[in-house]
Amino acid sequence: MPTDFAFRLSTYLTLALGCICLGYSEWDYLPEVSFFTGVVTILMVVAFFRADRRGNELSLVAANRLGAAIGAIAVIWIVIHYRRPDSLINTLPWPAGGLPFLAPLLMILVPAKLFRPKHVGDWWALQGVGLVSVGLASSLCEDLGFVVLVTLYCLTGVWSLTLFYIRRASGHVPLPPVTVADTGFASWISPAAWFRTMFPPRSRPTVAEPFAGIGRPSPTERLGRSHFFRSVRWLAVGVVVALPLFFLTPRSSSMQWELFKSRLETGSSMDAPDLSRTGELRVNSEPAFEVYARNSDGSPMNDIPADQRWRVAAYTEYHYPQGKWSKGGIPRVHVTPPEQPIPYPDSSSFEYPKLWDKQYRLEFRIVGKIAGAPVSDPADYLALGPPPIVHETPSGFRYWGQMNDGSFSPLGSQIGRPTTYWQIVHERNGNGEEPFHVFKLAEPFQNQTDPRTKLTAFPQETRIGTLANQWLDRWIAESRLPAEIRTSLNPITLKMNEIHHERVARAFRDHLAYSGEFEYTLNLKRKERKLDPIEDFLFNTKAGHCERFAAALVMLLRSVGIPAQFVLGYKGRDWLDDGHYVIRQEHAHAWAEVLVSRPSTDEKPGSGNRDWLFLSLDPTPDISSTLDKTDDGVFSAGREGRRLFANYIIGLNAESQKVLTKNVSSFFEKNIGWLVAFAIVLAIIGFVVRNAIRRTRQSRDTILDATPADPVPWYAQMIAILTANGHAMNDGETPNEYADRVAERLKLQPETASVADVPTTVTQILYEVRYAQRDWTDERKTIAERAIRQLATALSKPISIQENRHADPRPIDDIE
Amino acid sequence: MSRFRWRPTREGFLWVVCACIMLAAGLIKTINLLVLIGYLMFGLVGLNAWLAWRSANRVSVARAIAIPSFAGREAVRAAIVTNDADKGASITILETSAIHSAEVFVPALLPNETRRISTTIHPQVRGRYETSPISIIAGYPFGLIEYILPAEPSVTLTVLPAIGLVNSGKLRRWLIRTGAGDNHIRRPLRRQSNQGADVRGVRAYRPGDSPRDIHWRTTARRNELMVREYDSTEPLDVLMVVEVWVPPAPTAADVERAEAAISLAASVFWSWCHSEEQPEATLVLAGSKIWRTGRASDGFGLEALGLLADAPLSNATHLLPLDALRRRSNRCARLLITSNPNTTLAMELNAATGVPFVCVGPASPMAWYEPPVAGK
Repeated sequence: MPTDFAFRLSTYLTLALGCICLGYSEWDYLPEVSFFTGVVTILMVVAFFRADRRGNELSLVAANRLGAAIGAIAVIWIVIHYRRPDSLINTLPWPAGGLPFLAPLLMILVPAKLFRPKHVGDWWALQGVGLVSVGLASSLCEDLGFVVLVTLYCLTGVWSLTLFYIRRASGHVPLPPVTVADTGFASWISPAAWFRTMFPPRSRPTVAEPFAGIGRPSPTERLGRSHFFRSVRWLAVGVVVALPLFFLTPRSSSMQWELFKSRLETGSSMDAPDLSRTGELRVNSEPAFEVYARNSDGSPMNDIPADQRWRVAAYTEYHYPQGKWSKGGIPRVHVTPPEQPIPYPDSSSFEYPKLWDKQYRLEFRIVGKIAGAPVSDPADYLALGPPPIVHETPSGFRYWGQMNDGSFSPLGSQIGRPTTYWQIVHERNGNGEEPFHVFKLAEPFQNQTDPRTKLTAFPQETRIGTLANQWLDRWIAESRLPAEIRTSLNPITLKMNEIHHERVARAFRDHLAYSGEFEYTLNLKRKERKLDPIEDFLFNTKAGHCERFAAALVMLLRSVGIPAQFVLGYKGRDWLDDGHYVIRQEHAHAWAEVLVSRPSTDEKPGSGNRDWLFLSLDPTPDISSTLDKTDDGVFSAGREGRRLFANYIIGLNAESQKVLTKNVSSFFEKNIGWLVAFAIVLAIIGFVVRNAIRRTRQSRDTILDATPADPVPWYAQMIAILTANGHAMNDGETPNEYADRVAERLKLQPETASVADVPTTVTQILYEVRYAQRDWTDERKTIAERAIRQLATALSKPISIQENRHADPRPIDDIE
Repeated sequence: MSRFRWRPTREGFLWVVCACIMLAAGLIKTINLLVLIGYLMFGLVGLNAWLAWRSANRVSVARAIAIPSFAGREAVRAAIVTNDADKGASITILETSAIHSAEVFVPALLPNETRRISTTIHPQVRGRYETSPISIIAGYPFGLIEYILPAEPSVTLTVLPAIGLVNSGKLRRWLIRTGAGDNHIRRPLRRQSNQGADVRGVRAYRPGDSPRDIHWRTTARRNELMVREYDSTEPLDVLMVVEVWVPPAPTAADVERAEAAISLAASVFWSWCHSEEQPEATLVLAGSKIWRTGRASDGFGLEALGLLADAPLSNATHLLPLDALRRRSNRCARLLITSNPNTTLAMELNAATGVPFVCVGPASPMAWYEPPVAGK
C-alpha cells in the first residue's frame, strides 16, 4: 500500500539507522557485515522509491523467496565461518561468540519485509527488528560514534512512531488479516488467543478531517515536518525522564559485559597487559592515587614535572603470539641487600635523613585499583644508605628495597600492601631518565637466573628480529650508529656487546617516538588477527597506544640481544592544591626499561666490571596533542564532555555511581544558595519566554486566520451554513450533485426559493477556480460573498413545521 | 467503564516488554546503553500517557441525534467534537454496540475548533441495541497507552426491519382488486371515458405505463404512443395489522418466515409513509396492545416502524387493540400481514370490525414486492 512521503521517510530512516548501528558495531568483529550493511541500505533505498511508493511490492511468495535466498547465503556464510578454526565463532565462548553472527540475519529481515505488502503488524515487526538490531549493537560497541548513531536512531524512531500512530489511527494502514480463533485447549495455550482476550481487536477506524481537495494530501498526511520538530522535543523530554532513573538505578559491582575483549579503559588494569585487544580506548578519569609533595623544609612543593612518570610494575615474559605480558620468569630478590642491617627507624621520632643535597618527599596514598605500588620514576637509591621508600606499620616504619626487576618492595615479611608510604626523591636537572642507582650483576653472563637471561628471551619465529636488523643496518649506513655494533660482539654470548646497548636502545626509542612512521591513537585496531599483536603493529597498523609502543621497543631490543622489560605505570599528574596532586587512571602509561651497563666507577679502570642499571625509555610519541590536552576552551570542554560521558554514561558502575552521588550531594550542599537563585532566575526567564512565544503564536494565528487557507473559502462556509440547516452533504456526493439536490429542496420553500441557485453558483465558482485553474478574482469573490450572505439570511427565517417535512427527506442527523 | 482510564494498547504492552528486556539485559550485563534505551522507552510511555491525558481533557463531544436505521442499509453515526482549549488536540471517538463499532480519529483539532464527525455503519439485524457511551480515546502521539474518557451517555440504537422494494402503483391496484378481503381477485371496473373530469391531459408514453391508459386517438394523430394523465386521486388510508407468528417450537424456517413477514410489513408501511400523499396510517402489532397511528410521513413511518424493530416472535397473536381497528373511513385499505399460513386472524378482524381485511404473507404471490436481499 503506498504511504505518504514523511511516514515512509521516517520509517526507512529509522530502519536504516538501526542497520547502520549494527554495521558500525560489527566493524571490529566481522568487517564483511559492515559491508553487508551497505547492501541492505541500497535495498532499502530501492524499496523506498520502488516498492512502497508506487504500490508495486513483491507478492508474499516472491518476497519470502527473496528473503529465503538471502537467508540461505547468510547460512552458507556462517557455515564457512564455522569451518575456519580462526573464526570468531570458534574462538569465542558460546553463546557470546554467536552474537556477531546474528547481525546479518537481522538485517536480512528488514528488506525482506519491506518488499512485502505490509499491514499494521508488519510495520511493528519492522520497528521491532530495528530495535533488536540496536540492542544487539549496543552489546558489541559503545564508542562515541556509535552513541551518535543511536541518538539519531532514537530521534527518527520517535518521529516514525508518531507518524505511524497517526496513519494507523486514521485507518491508512491496513489491519492484519483476521485469523481463525483457536478453540478448546489450543485457546488456553495459544499466546495469540491470550493476546486477543487481553486486547480485543478493534475495527479499522476512519478519520474526520477537512477535505483537502482532489489529489492533494490529506491534513494528516501533511504532518511530517511539524512532527519531526515535535519529536525532537519529545525525545528530549524522554531523555530527561530517563537520565535520573538511569543514574539512580543501583548497579551491580560485577564486571561489565565483555564479548571477547575487556572493556578498554585507560588505567592500570589489575589484569596482565593484553595487546590483542581492539576498540576505542576510553578515558577513565577515576583517581588512582594521590601524592602530597613536601620540600626539605616541609613546605608544599608545587612544581612536580607535568610529565613525571610513576612506576608501578614490570613485566618480563611475553607470550607469543597471544600478545600478553606476565611477570613470571625472574625470581624477585633485592638486588642490593644492605651489607649491614639498617635499623628500622623509631615510629615516634622518625625523620627522614638527608640523602641528597636537593631532595623532596612524596607521600603516596592509594585510592583506586592499581596493580602495584607506584613510585616516582626513576627511583634513586643511595648505596649503603637508607632505602628511599618507607611505610609505617603498627610496629614502626619499614624500609623498601629495590628488587632485581627494578621495582621496590618492603624489606622483611609483609602482609598486604600498604596504602600509604613515603618516598625521598632526588631533585635534579636533566631528562629524568638517568637513575642514580646502579647495581652489580654476576659476570660473566652465564647464570640462567640472571635477569639478562629472561630479559632477552625472544621468540625466534617472529619477523621482528629481521626488522630490527634492517633498521640497524640502515642506521649504520646513515652513520647514526657506529659499525662496531656489528663487529665487536660479546665474546661469550656472541651477541651485541654491552657497551653499545644503551646507544642502540636509544636509537630504537627515537625511531619509534620521533620518526613519524608510527602514530599514537586510542582507537586500537588489528589488521591481521592471526598475527602477533606486536608484529601487526610494527608491520601493518603502525598505530596504537603506549602499550603497543613500549612492547614493540622491548621486543625490538630483545631481538638484537639487549635485555629489556615492559613497565606499566602512570605519566603526568593533576594539581589539586598546595603540594597535593592526584594521578588518575587516564594518566596510565607504559614504557620500556632497558638493562644497560656502564663501566664501573668503583673498580679499577680496565677491570672490565660494569655497573648495571635499569634505564627507562619512553617510545611513545608526544601524546599531548592526541589527547587534546590543551587549555583551549573548546577542546578542553570537548575533552571534559567525553570524559564525563565515558565515566558516567557508558562506564557508569557501582563505583562511579558512588563517586557521582558523593560529588552531586557535595555540590548541592556547597551551592544550595546559588542553585536556588539560579532556579528562580530560570523560572523568571521561562515565564517571560513562554509569554513571548504565546504572543508570537497568537499574532501568527491571527495572520493565518486572515489568510484564506483554501482558494475558495466561501464554499466551505456555504457547506457549514447548509449543514447547520439540515442540508448536509452525503458521503460520496460530488459538489455538483450536492448543489443540485440542495437547490431542488430550497426551491420548495417560499423563504428559500429565491436563494435556491446559490449552491449552484458557488459550486460553479469552486469548479472554475479549483479544477479549471481560473483566477480567484475580486468579481467572483464579491459574487460568492453576496450569495452566501443571502443564503444565510434566507435560511435564518423560521420555517413552518407543516412545510418542513418537505425540506429534505434525508434524515436530519445534526444536533440543530 | 473501568476506573482505570489509562489502558495500554497491544503495541504498548509489547513496547513495555521490550523495554523491560532491554533494562534487564543492560543491568545484568552492565551494558549501560541498553539500560538507557530501556529507560528512554519507559520515558516515552510516560510522556505518551501525559500527552494523551492532556488531549482527552481538552475535547468535548456531543452526540448527534440518532435516528432509526433500516437493517441491511447504511446508517450514519455522528457527533460534534469541540476543542475547548487554546492548544491543539488529536483524539479518537469510539462508540460500540452489539452490532457496530464506530471509531473515528479526529486529528489536529485546532484550538476552539468544532468539527462534525460521522461514520457509517451497516446494521444487519433489526432490534434495539444499547450503545456504549461515546468515549474519547487519546493515544496521541505514540499510541502506546490510551487515556479513555467517557463523554456521552449510552443511547438505544433502533434498527428497523430490512425493507424491500414496493411498487406503490401495483400495490394500490392489487389492494383495489382484493379489497373485499376474501383474497379473491376481482376485475375492477374499466375507467369510463365519461370520467373526463379526472383526466388532466395526455403525455408521451413511458416504460411502465399501463396499456389501458394509452390514448389511441392522439397516438394515431401524433404517430407516437401517448397516454392519459389523471389528476391524483384521493389518498388511500391504510390499516395494517402485523401478525408475527411462530409455532411454539419454531424451526429456522419458521423464524425466517416470520422475519420475512416483518420485512414485508415494514416495506409496505414505509412505502405508504414515503409517498407524497398524507393518508392516515395505522400500524397494529397483533399480540400486543401497542399501535401507532398518524399522518403518513417519513418521521411518522420511522417512529411507527419502531414497533416492528423489537417485535417478538410469538404464537400468542390474538390479542388486538380494538380501538385501533374502529372508526375507519371507507377509503381505507385494511391489510393483515402474517407469517402464519393458516391464520384465522383475518376472520377475527372481520368479525371484530365488520370490514374484510386483505391477508398477505411472505409466501403469497406479490408482483408489487421485491424482498430485501440478504447481506445487502
